[in-house]
Amino acid sequence: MNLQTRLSVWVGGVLFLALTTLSVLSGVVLYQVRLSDMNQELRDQSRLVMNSARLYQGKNLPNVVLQTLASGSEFVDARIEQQGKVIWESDFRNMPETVQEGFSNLSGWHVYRISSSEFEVEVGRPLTSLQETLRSYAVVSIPLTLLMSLLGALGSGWVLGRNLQPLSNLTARVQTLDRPEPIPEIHRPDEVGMLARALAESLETLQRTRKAELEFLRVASHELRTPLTALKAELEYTLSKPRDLQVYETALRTLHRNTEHLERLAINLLTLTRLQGSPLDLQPVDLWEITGAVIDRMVPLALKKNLSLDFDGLPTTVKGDPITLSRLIENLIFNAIRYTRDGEIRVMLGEHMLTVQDQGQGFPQELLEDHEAQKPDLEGFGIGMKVVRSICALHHAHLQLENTIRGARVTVTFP
Amino acid sequence: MRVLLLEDDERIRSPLARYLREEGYAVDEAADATTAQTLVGLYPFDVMIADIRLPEGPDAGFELVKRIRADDFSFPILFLSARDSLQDKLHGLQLGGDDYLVKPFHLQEVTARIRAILRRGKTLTPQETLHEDLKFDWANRRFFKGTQEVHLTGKEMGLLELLSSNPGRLYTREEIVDRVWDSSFDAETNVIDVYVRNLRRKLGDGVIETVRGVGYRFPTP
Repeated sequence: MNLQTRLSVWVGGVLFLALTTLSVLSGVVLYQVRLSDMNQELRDQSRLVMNSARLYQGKNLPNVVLQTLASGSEFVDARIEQQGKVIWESDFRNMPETVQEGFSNLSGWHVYRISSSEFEVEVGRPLTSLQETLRSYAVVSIPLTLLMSLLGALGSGWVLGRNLQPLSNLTARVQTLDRPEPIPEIHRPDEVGMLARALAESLETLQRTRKAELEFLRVASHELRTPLTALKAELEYTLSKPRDLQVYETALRTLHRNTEHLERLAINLLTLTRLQGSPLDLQPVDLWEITGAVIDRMVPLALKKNLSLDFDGLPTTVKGDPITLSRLIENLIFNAIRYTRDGEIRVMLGEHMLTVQDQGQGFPQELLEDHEAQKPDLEGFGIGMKVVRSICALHHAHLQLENTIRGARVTVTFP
Repeated sequence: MRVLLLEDDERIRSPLARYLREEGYAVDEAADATTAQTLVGLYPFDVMIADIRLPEGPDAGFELVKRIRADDFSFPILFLSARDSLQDKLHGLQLGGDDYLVKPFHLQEVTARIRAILRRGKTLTPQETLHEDLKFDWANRRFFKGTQEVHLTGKEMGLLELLSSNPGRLYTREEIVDRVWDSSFDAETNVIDVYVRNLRRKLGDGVIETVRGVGYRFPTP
């Protein structure tokens, strides 16, 4: 059951209860009013009959008394007794007898009895007229209550429908996220407007995240192509015909190197996704210690290429995350090793500063020109430099790339 | 058939070049657009395989092909790239590229595509009859004499493919050296006579005609 139907049913129900209560109350009041009228009438009549009884000693009451008894909306029956014996009766109907003083209800009659020293007088009327009044009241009030409740429910349904229309518009728009139309009802001052604004905001965040993820996927799949192609080409060449043991061995070594490249790429891709997740917990760390550990790991790689890897400078403490910082330094040194054919790579530490200088071919011009735009398709440089940039940004560090006479130089300045 | 292979990544270029050489192609390697342009001016290439992103820039491959076409070189060009967008493919073909292969590729696919663009305009059948009962299964690069497979070395294959690609055309020894051997080979034209002799021994005398003192040709069918 939708909200509109549910609320309409509730309105109908509440209206029905209220109207019923009101009708019952009105019925009771009506009954009370009619009863007190009747009591007044019976009191008056009883006084008249008592006076007449005294005047005529209870017998042969004149016609005028009977006429008075019959003059109201209905006949009033009367009886006069003397010491318990009936001495006169109006004989209109069979009014039941009573011994109780005042008003009493018996067998459908409302009877009033008064006594004096000589006589007891009873006057009474059947209650049917009262019941008749109540019945005709009910005949009008019950259908009216039902009708009003129904109309109330339908009316509220219509009003609710009109008021819920903006919500339906909103629902229709939000069902598919990637639609160019703007979120409707956004300028309404009410709760619907608030909902629309909240939706627009989260939709925007969602679209931004999605865009970033798609971009990441695009970059990742692109970056994976090159090492995969290298692996595949080497494998297919080697397997295309039977070969000497030595060829297989060379091929395996090449494949091992290629796999290492793939591994580095995978680690960098993972780092990049993690960096996008949550902000880092920056604590004071000893940059000398971190750099030293990375150097120790990278020396074998440098030696394999006949490069020397020098580490120099002064210890410094910066605010940072040790794991991502070593990833940063590793990427810088790895790039330096990769792009230097021969010579040395110098890693220098200064006050809140790290410099990596190589003797390679230098950075491609596009990387130097395009400092901030994170060009994703810089093959090779792509992910590694993207990771470096991300880590620098998260450390509020300044990254400077430059080409010197001898090669490329990267300087990271920490705050 | 002489191939110019332009690819900056040594890990991809090296196995591809080795494979092509084994398949009988003469392969000249270039790691950047400048080297490639120099080589284009020096040797008669039958086909060029070009990467797009090169040390000179992200679109250096495109720019080089544009220059080559402007200089009226008409050999087929096959692009090889990690970029797989339709836009890049269309751009490459508009510049005068003949085919576009996205990395990672199969080595066999490269030779098949080269064969296909070299044979453009001719009907391609799985087994092509070269001469009498000499057949060439070009997808798998195998030669058959009758139903018997004939095993040829890379250079024998390259020589046969060059001559048979244009039956009746006379190739001088120098021309053959230029198109079957790459720049790593120190040209000694008498090596061709050795290969021709071997081919005749394997395939029969009629398969290559000698034009005394000039060169060789494949007989017209």
